Amino acid sequence: MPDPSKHTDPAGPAGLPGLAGPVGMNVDFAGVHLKNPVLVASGTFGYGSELSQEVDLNALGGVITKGISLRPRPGNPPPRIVETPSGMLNAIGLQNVGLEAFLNEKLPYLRRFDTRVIVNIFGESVDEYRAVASGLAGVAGVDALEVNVSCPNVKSGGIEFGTDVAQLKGLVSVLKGSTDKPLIVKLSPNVGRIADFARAAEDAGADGISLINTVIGMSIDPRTRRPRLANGTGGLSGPAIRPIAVRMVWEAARAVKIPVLGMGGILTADDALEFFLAGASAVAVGTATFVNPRAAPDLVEGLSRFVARENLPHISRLVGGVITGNA
Amino acid sequence: MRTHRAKIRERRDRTGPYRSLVLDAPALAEAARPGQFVMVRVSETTDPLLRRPFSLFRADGPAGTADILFRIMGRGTSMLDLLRAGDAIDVVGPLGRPFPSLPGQEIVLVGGGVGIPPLFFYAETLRRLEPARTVHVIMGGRTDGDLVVREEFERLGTLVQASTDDGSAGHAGVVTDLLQPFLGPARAILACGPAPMLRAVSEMAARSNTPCWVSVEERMACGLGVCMGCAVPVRSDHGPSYRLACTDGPVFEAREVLW
Ligand SMILES: Cc1cc2nc3c(=O)[nH]c(=O)nc-3n(C[C@H](O)[C@H](O)[C@H](O)COP(=O)(O)OP(=O)(O)OC[C@H]3O[C@@H](n4cnc5c(N)ncnc54)[C@H](O)[C@@H]3O)c2cc1C
Ligand SMILES: Cc1cc2nc3c(=O)[nH]c(=O)nc-3n(C[C@H](O)[C@H](O)[C@H](O)COP(=O)(O)O)c2cc1C
Ligand code: FES
Repeated sequence: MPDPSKHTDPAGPAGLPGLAGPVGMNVDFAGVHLKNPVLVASGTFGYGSELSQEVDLNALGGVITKGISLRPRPGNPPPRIVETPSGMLNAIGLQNVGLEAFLNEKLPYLRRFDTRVIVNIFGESVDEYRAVASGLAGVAGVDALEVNVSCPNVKSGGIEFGTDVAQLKGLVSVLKGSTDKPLIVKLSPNVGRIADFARAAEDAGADGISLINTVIGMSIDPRTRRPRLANGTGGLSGPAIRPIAVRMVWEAARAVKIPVLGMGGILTADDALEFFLAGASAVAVGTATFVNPRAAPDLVEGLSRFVARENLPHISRLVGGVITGNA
Repeated sequence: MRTHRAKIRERRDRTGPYRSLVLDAPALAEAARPGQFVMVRVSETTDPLLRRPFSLFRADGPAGTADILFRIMGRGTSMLDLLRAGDAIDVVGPLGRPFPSLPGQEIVLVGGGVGIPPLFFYAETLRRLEPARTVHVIMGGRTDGDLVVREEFERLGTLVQASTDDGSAGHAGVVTDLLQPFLGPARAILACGPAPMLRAVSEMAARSNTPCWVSVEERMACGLGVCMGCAVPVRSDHGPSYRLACTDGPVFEAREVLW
């Protein structure tokens, strides 16, 4: 954890709250220096250029890209999304441009900004994961890798790594050996004991963990008697999963020493504060961006205002600060 | 910036379950092109969570207004129906690619139900720019209430033909029954409506070498190209693939779409 005393706002809490470059907001996450602890979650912000009219990327702690595989993937047939109470199910099928096009066409744009770039990667075998990680090793402008071991949409692969402790460990150790970049392992919530998986990632050499990915779900149209998603099942995201996410971040953060990136249904500063208090050192905004394209920069402002209003020397003072019965 | 807090200047009951709203949104009105759409937040709470996509029905740059016309379908549109003049709503747009401008061509607009608003915007814009251009409109629906803004089309001076499934107005049948005389490379078709209609129109256009563009509907979470939820199956150089309805479309060249 960074030393909070080094980041005290010289203007003090009486300074204008929520203005540019707030001191007291920067964090070191898994060896990556973030100017503030707000990132955008994989698959909810495209490749970073799509919202250039709404969001100044310089205002964000970092951008996590859409999941990248070795070769381009077309994704699933439509319908790929369905709205559910306070959330949505998606079965995008990990559509992406593939590693080569990402490096040539997408990464150069992201490099123009003063923000951290974390590339989300996945594969259908250990070899494919390793090939993507090796392809990103040493690439300037890539600050860390986030390993998606938990996408519930793809029939072949993904899910096994994230729901089997031994396989997860195996995968992470291989990846640790194939890249110089910090490795953030994104855990699947579709398991019984999340702490076991958090520890497995840490033991295998992960520099950080992120959670939660989407919760596997299903919706059926009673009139047609068919699933509403062409894929049958999909991943649930949005405010509907927030309590699950907060609980899992709390359990995982207590089980490991590596930092935790929390996400799942965050819309507002209050939502994000739950995650910090549960033990997250940084947070990511996902589905909220669909509802409010400026959700992430708005969250940065909301959090800085909170830090100023509460006279906190640094936002990291909140991390793990939940007061439970035994405290 | 494509996000707007828009005050409703006027709300109108149209035929049947159709309503229209005039929104005070100068930046949107200035930028809007026919065929583009907006994402409307129907609730300030998290349920329903997602914005709803609606085509722009008109836009008046100098007046600073942009209109939508919607059919009450489910929860979101029922909530929109409760809004009154003076209320404010949160709108993102204009989004997507507009219809092509097609200089010199005789235009045939083919639409049904909620597909009619973007075609009206096209006709009205073309009338203002080129009053002499011939514009045909073939509109269809289940019943006469679905022939929304028919009179407005006629007042513009477009040549309107109509069909209804139940025969309550116009030809008893579907729009493609009326399309045959308008086919051929000298005219261009712009179509918007339900997928089966668009497929039928596209096939007739392909067989007759009539240039044709369609505006498609797909489920959308963001409307902004970031979620990849709105996949439209298309032909490409390397076989079938998907494009995004919200940023590559919603207007596509008809021969590109795999129905
Ligand atoms: C590009 C585009 C332009 C459109 N333009 C118009 C228009 O000008 N006027 C109009 O009345 N309607 C239009 N529609 C359809 C309109 O978006 C739906 O009727 C509306 O979303 C229904 O919302 P609801 O909450 O009432 O229905 P519900 O069925 O309760 O909605 C549930 C979910 O499904 C989605 N959904 C339902 N029907 C459709 C549909 N046909 N297309 C896409 N998503 C749907 C909703 O957005 C919501 O996420 C357009 C759709 C698209 C994609
Ligand atoms: C449409 C969509 C696409 C997603 N794509 C990815 C992906 O490619 N890789 C990944 O690791 N997570 C992906 N996610 C999961 C999100 O990054 C995030 O973990 C999850 O949605 C929970 O956060 P939220 O409730 O704030 O959206 C996706 C989520 C959504 C809604
Ligand atoms: S609706 Fe999200 S990419 Fe088109």
